[in-house]
Amino acid sequence: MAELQTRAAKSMRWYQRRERAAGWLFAAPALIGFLALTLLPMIFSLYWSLTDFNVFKSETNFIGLDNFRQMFSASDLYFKDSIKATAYYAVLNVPASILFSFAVALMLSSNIKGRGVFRSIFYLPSIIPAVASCMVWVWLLNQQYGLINTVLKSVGITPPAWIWSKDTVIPTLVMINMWNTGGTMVIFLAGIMSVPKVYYEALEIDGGNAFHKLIYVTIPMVTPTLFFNTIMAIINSLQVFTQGYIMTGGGPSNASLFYCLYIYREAFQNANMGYACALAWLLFLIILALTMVVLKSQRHWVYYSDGGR
Amino acid sequence: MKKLVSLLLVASLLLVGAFAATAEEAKKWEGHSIVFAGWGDGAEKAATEAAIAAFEEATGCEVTYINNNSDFDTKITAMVAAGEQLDCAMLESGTIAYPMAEQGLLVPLDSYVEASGIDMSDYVAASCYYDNDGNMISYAGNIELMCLFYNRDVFDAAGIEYPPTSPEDAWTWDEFVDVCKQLTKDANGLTPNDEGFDAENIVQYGVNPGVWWPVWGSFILSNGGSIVDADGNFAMNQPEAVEALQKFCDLKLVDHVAPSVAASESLPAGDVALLTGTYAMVIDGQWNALTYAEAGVNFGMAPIPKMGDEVVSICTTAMFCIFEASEEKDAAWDLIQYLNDPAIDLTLFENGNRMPTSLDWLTSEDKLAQWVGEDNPARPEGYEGIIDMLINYSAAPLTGQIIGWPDMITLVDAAIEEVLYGNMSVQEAMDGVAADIEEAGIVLGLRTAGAEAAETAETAETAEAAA
Repeated sequence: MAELQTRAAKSMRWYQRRERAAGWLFAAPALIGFLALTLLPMIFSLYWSLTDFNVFKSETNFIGLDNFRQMFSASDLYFKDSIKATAYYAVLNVPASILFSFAVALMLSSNIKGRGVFRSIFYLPSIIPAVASCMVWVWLLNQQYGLINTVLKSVGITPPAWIWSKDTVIPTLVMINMWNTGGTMVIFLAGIMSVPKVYYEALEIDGGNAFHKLIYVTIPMVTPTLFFNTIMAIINSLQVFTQGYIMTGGGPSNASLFYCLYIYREAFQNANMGYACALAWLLFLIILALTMVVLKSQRHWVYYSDGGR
Repeated sequence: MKKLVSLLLVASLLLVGAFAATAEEAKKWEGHSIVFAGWGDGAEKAATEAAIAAFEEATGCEVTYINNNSDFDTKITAMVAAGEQLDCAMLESGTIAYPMAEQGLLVPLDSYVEASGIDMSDYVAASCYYDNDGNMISYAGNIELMCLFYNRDVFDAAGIEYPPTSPEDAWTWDEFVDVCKQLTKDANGLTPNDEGFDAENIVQYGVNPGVWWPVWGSFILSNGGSIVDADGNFAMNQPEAVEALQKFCDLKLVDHVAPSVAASESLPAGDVALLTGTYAMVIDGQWNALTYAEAGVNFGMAPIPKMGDEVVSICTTAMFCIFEASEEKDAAWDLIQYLNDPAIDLTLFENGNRMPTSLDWLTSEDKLAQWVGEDNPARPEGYEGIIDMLINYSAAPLTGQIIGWPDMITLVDAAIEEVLYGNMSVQEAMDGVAADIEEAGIVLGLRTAGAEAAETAETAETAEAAA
């Protein structure tokens, strides 16, 4: 009997060991990927952000926080512009993209004809390569031959200069980005669809209308989704790059010199890798801080049906 | 006996083999390999490949040719950062070349030029680039300069005489603007000289000037101005430069003979616009001759107008540099000569893409016949005026002359953009740039100053020695 027990225990231990090994094995791709492609480069870049590492220079010196001091000094002519452009974009884009994709998701959740077709249509732009969609927009907005201007002119509206004026470039890019919110929309849609029907039925019995359903059921129930999408929208807005790189080249007059575009320029056009790393770390800290603020705020407005556990 | 014969046969075979082997070995760079990076469109790539093939055939050297057109600087920067083999490359003088030279990454070529028996006085001086100490860091056999292209049909239809072909007789600025006005038409066929001209609906522009430094720089120099003065001060806010730049911008803003920023966004490419008569004239680099010839434009070429007493046309040319890290510098130098010798491959000179820098190729009858020719569509009548302008009225690329160029030009370009958007005057814009340069602590200077200083130091030494 005792022998049987030890044998059972043995085989149990053997099984546990095997399971542990298998677990590590399955986790290995993600772990190795994280260590080699994320953590290690981050550690390197943190070190380089404290140096004057320049690709063309033979020696690299440790300069402490000088890179960070330089950003805030007058000698960096583009840092302020890039912060301004990125902040302006984020302030417009976060609410605009959230509102737009929520509104679309709401419409697509209702029981309309051809719902599947509409869902595909609204999601489709998200799978088009960003570069291609940027080029399409450049032509749509073209001052003379562009479709948008032609339509506006035909109804007697003088079109703005879109991406060719420093006053309208950021709002235009935000408007274009509405086109790419398909991913956010799908997440909202999933959130809306998973709201239990009983709540709506209860509200109907109490005499609530569609507006009440939205305010008292749908919105409170999708706040976890809203919370997630807001964080993602903040991060994506602060990391905007492609539109500035492809469509405007940062212009006119640095009005769309997004922070990431500035990092790219410093790193790969001016070869100032150390300074670019410092810029990247500052962005990381800004995003971290903003995410923490949103995280902290969630207990005031995010509703979890299981009490947030 | 038989044995002896076969032995002799074997011996002779071996000897022949040995000779054959030595003949193979006689190729100069047998067993060596170099990496060369450059940019260029299809035609340029093909011509470069032809010259490289000739080089490989003649020297036995193996060449890896990296042709990269988008983000060339990024590619080079990444290769240097990764320590990849890169022996020689074309480099853009306005961006990464000088930052690299300042870190000692580029080989001074003076001794190579001397060893090859090249006398630089036989070449257009503007084609080479020098570092801050006066060492040659780039040797190029081809060059470009700013020219006036015009559509003959548009001139014929308007009954206006073609622009003068000799730089001596080049139009003054006022004469030029006057012709531009006659050739600018709105949708109702009115010119800017007419009452009721609609500047919002222009269908034919007198001129489309390239808005970049070789074009506006040429007019500033012609007007007696400068970009950076001898003391290293930013000089584009000085009266001569401001006047020239304002007149240049006024082509768009006041005279309405050139497309506004918003309008040029939607105009077709230069070749199509010149072909269809949307532009009567274009001011830009010589290489456009290739594009216009291929598009079948009935075009002519003339010296650009003068803003002051004399025509000045700024040259541009890609740099050909050798890297200090290369272990095959001598072979790389030989390749650079191959790539820059019209005698090796004439395609790009003949098709309108390039001009040679060798005075022999620019002046002697039989050489000219090879690349200018009489029926060459890329070399219109009056092309001798362009050659005259290159030899006698051209200025070296500003990118090689000015220390601190990459930082400065970014600010200047943004400021000119502001002017062209109508947000400020040239004087305000350039004063703003001067303030930014001071605030950011950008150090400017002239490279010629370094060379001159070295010269004076030498004279001082000789004087001392004499004493």
